[in-house]
Formats: sequence, structure tokens, C-alpha cells
Amino acid sequence: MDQTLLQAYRESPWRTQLKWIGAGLAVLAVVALIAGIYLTVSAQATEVGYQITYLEKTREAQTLEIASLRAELASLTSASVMAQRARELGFQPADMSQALYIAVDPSLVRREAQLAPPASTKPEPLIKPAYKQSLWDWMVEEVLQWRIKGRGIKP
Amino acid sequence: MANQRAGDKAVNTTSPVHPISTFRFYLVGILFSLLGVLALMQIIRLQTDARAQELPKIGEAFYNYEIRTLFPERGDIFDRWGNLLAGNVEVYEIGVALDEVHYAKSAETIARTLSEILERPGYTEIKVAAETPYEKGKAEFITIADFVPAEKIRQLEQKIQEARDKGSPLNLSGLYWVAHPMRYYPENDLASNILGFVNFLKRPENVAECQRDGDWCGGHLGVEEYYDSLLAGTPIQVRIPKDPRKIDNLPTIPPGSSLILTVDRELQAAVERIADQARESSGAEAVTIIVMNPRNGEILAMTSTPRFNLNRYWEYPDIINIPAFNRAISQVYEPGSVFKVLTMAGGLDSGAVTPEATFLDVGSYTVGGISLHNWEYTVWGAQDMTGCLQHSINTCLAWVANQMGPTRFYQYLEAFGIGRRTGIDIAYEAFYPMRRPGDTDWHEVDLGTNAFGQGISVTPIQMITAISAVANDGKMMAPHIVKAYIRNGQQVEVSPKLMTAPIKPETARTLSEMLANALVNEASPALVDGYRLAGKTGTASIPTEQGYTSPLTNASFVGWGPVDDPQFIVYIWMEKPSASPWASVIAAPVFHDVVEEAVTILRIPPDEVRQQMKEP
Repeated sequence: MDQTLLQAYRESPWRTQLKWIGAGLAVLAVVALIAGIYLTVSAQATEVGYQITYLEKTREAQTLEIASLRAELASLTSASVMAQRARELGFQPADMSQALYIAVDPSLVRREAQLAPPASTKPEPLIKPAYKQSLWDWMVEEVLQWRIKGRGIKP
Repeated sequence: MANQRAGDKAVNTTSPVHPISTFRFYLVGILFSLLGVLALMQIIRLQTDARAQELPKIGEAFYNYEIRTLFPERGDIFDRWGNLLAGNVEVYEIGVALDEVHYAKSAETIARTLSEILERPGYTEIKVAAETPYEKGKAEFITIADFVPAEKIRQLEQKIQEARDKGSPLNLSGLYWVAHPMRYYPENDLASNILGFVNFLKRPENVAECQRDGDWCGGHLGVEEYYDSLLAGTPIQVRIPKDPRKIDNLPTIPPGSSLILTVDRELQAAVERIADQARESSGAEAVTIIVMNPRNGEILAMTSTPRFNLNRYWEYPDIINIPAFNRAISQVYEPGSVFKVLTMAGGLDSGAVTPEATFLDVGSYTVGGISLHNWEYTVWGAQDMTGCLQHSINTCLAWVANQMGPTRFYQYLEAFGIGRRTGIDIAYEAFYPMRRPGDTDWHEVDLGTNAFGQGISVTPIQMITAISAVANDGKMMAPHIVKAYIRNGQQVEVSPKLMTAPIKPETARTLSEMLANALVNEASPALVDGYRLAGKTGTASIPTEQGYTSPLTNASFVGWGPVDDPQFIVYIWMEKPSASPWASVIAAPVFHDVVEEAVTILRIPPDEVRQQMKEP
């Protein structure tokens, strides 16, 4: 009796085999998918890595070029060059006896050098945090953001 | 109960457990447990031991990362209006990778191409260098030229492109060029005595080697040396992953701090021009001029002949002579009669004399048993204190010092900073110790001679700083050359510092008036129309081993203005002029020229105009 019942519920061997093959293929597909994603992400990361290296080098070169151009400009406007150009244009040294003095608004008076760059907002990081966090971190953050938005609280 | 018994019975029916087998079983179990415990202990040790923790880092650093030192860009130097005085330019290092050259047989093309562009080295030298046999670890890369201007590299790139366009590309395999910064002074020799220079033939990465060789490293002399560490910034070491997937952004390395000097470029240029003219017309060995704002100690201009084109510093053998590089701060000398300003300041401030006090000059005055005389043994008769200054009467000032007594006299000189450095922020400031009563080399007569600037040595910066107290209501401000510095994107202003107040404000004003009157009374060539100025000449004999026997002199002049609101003080020192020994003839006109330029450039209207502008 027991044997009969067991046999009635047991699948045929070819079906079991097919199931195992299907499961194996599914695992293989998942592995292939993961490998594919991994390869794609790795390829992208590598490309971005090379881009970063290239951009860093470009930044270095441009910093140097800016310094060079600043020095060149200073050379073109040096005291001796400007004096020479002024003479060539027919200017003469100021004669104090002929100077005319007029009162001017203090804002028009020449101001001493303020060369520091103006205070700006916090600079954007070169690489966005999304590129540095794991999928899990990203999901947690997104959920938190969603919950905050849902409650109407500004982050 | 019955079941238990039945069970017992069942156990008893099976084969009895061999005692040795149980022991072995437990032994193996204990051994494995011990192994487990040991493994656990090892895990804990590895997690907590500092040395063990270093190992993976070392391994990772060695195999997965490249450690690179980044050197910040050297900070710029500007004048007070933002004109660049020292900056950086792009230059290139050109070299060959020997294995690549050998493999591609490109030495000939490299030598031919580079020799057409570079002035040095020539074809043969380049070819010899490029054909050097490759030896791993010993001869892999050879630098052919360094500090090659960027335009030469543009020419090279153009040449390569042209050849490529023609369809016959040049075989330059193994040739590399890398950019790096080089210090550059766009004004060439302007303010060279102040700036100093950077030994840019030694690059920052070679500083250790440079120091080992005992060579100059980094900034040398002037501001470049004094602020070397601030300008150079701090190099940082970064780990760059060899795996491109792990490459993150490199940390931004902040450039070295930039300096904004107190110097006014236009005034500096004018003062240098005047110094050059004065040197030529007077036949002086050297001319030193300092222009300072007595209100805050800012140096507006400072020069000392000769000057140097800082972009070609190696062409001047004299540049290593520290006192001669900037006499204004590094050369001591006996100042002569300009020192009388300090003696009179002390005399008036201490109450030893009043402006109206009369001194009867008979041509000599005895101090410590030694008779002191005036220049060329002149006799001036009865003189008030203004007359004493106007005629620069040695005997009178010796008398003033005597009235004060040595203790008070030297106390005042100390308060004026004589005998010690002013602390100006330029490298190699010199000083000469002042001899005081009690010192073995001090004699009573020194009180008299010191009173008129003999037997005492100072630098021009010490003199101008001390006398600036008279121009600035008795307050002596610390002289400084840096007005502000820019660090981490912020401009930090340097606050003026009060050194000391050696005399009372009323003493300072009284003495200023006396010196202004003295200039007017003698119709000095130092005067400038429209401006009331105070000043004093100084003609000093130069001591030799035989005493004051040399006919050569040091001619000095100190003056400031406008007297009612001093905005500049000027110090001039002309060393051994041959046209005339007299400061009133040689140095006073130079002061006149400097003031004429200063009032124009600093936009100081004549006294009359200023008074009108003050009125509501």
C-alpha cells in the first residue's frame, strides 16, 4: 500500500532529470548574469579610472599653463615694458607742479591687492558618492530618502 | 523504568567499548580542539598585533599601489597692488628611454631632430646619450635637456605633426618630454635685493641630494629664503592604485602660500632708477635707498646697488656675497651725523636739553679726556639745538650726550633698537653689537663719538626704523615686507606691530619741527616745493686700521614728510662717493628726487591742497 502511494506521487525519472538540468541551467544563467554584470561594471570602472588619470594629468598641465600664462602676462606688463610703451605713446612723467587735485568718491580710490579667490559654496566632489557606495548602501539611502520625503520632512 | 532497564540490557548486548579506542577518540578531539583554539588565538593576534597589521599594508602598497610624492606649486610673490614679482613658468625635461631607442633604432633621428630645435646639447652629444647601452637598473633613462622652454616643445610637436602629415613620420620612439614648473621673475632685476631667488636648477624632488652636496636648495636670500617653507608648501605622498578600477581622485595638493609684499612696484622702479643715476653721477661704490611708511612699518621700496637679473642668477659671482646682495639690511656701517637725530631725541625726551638750550661751540669739546672736533675744525659759536642739527655740530651733540650721562644715553639707544636686529622678514639681516659702559672695549670718549654716529655701527634698516619713531609720534613700528599672504584660498593680512615707543609724542613732534626748520634754514637741496619735510644729513669718515685717516666718506640722508602727517620716511646711504664727500651735496638731492617720485606715485597732494581738502 505504502509503496503504491509513494509510486503514485513520485515523478518519473526523466522529469526529475529535466528538473535538475533546468535548475542547473538556471544557476548557470544566474552565474553568467552576475559575471556579465561584474564584467560590465569592471569595464566601466576601469574606463572611469583611466579617465580620472587623464583628467588629473590635464588638470596638472592646465595649472602649469595658467601659471605660465600669468607669468607671461606679468612680463608683458612689467614696469620697464609699460614705461617704454608709455614713452612710445607720447606720455611723459607726471609733473607735480601741474597736477590738478580733485576730490573723488572713496570707492574710486585704487585698492590694494585682494588676490584670494572669492569665498564660494562647498565645491562638488569630483566623484559622486553614488559611485563610491555599495548597492546595499545605495538602497538604504534611497529608502531613507523616500521615507523622509513621504513624511514631508526636508532632508 | 522498565524501558530503561530494557535499554541497559540492549547496551550490554552490543560489543563492549574498548578503553583504548575511547582514549584515542578523546585525544584526537582534544588535539583538534587545541588546533581550533590556536587558530582562534592566531586570528586574535593578527587582528591586534600592530606589526602584523602592517604586513598587509606593506604588501598592498608594494604590489597594488604606487607611492608618489606630489610637490605643490611654489607660491607667487606680488607687490601691494597685485603685480606679479615672482611666479612660475612651464618648462620641460627631455629624455630617452634607452631600451626603446635601442629597439627602434631611433637615436639618429632623435639627435637630428632635437639638435635642430635645442641650442644645447648638440647633435653628437645627443646621439652619444641616446646610444648609451641599456642596462636594467643602471642605465634605463637618460635626461638630454632640462628647463627647456615650452615654445621649444611646441616647435618639436609641430615638426612631428608636419612629418606625419607628409606621410613620413619621424622615428622618435623612446623620446619623452615632461613638463614641470620653473621659478620666473617677470620684472627681471626689479626688487631683486628684496626678493632673492630660487635655485631652480635644483628641483624640489632633488632637494635631499642638493642639501647633501651642500648646495643652495630652494629659496636663497631675500624673501624667497625667509619665507621658503611657506612659499614651497608641504609635499604630500599619495598612494595611486595600479589597478585602474581602484583609481580614485588624487587629493588636491594646495599650492604654496603666495605673498603680497608691501612694496609698490612703481615706486620701487623709480627708486631703483634714482639709485642707478645717483651711483653714476656721484661715483659711489654703492647706493642704498629705503622708503618706509613710518605709521605701520611697511617697506614701500628698498634697493641697493648692484641689482641682479634673477632669471639668470648664475651669471653673477657677487650674488653669493651676502652683505652686498642687500646692503640695506645686511651691511653695517658707521652712519655719522644722521645718528644725531637719535642723540637729540634722547636729550629732548630725557629733559637733558630743550630746543632753546644754547651751546657755545668753540670748535672742540672734551669727553673722557679726549678732545672732539667738528668737521674741518669749524667753529659755530652760540647755537640753539636747531642750529646744532642744522650745522651738524659734533661738539654740540657730544655735549648733549654728556648732559644725558652714559646710562640714559645708552638706554635710549637700546630703546631705539641700536645693537640688535629689527626683525625684518628678509633673510640675512645683520647687526653690530653696541658697546655699552661696563664693556671692556667701551671707553668714556665713546659717549661723545657715539653721539654723532662715530664708533657705532648700524644697518640702514636699523637707522630708518629707529628714526621712524620721530616721524611717528614716538612709536617705532616693526619694519616688514610682507603685507599679506594667501594660504588655502584665504588672504591673511599681516598686522603692523609696535616695537616700542622710545620717546614721547611731544618730543617726536618737537624734533620733527626742529629738523624741518633746519632744512629750511639751510635751504637744503633736499626740499621739495609744496611739501614740508624734515631731514638730516650724515657725512661719516670711514675708519681704517690707522683710524679715521681715509678721505673717503659714507654720505647718508634721512628725511620724512609731510611733517604734519608723515606718510613716508626715506633713508639714503651712498658709499664712498667720489664726486663730493658731503652728504648735503651728494645725498640730499637724491632725497629730493625720491620724494618727488614718492608723492606722485603715492598720490600725496601738496600741504596746501591737503589742508584745503581737510576743511569742510
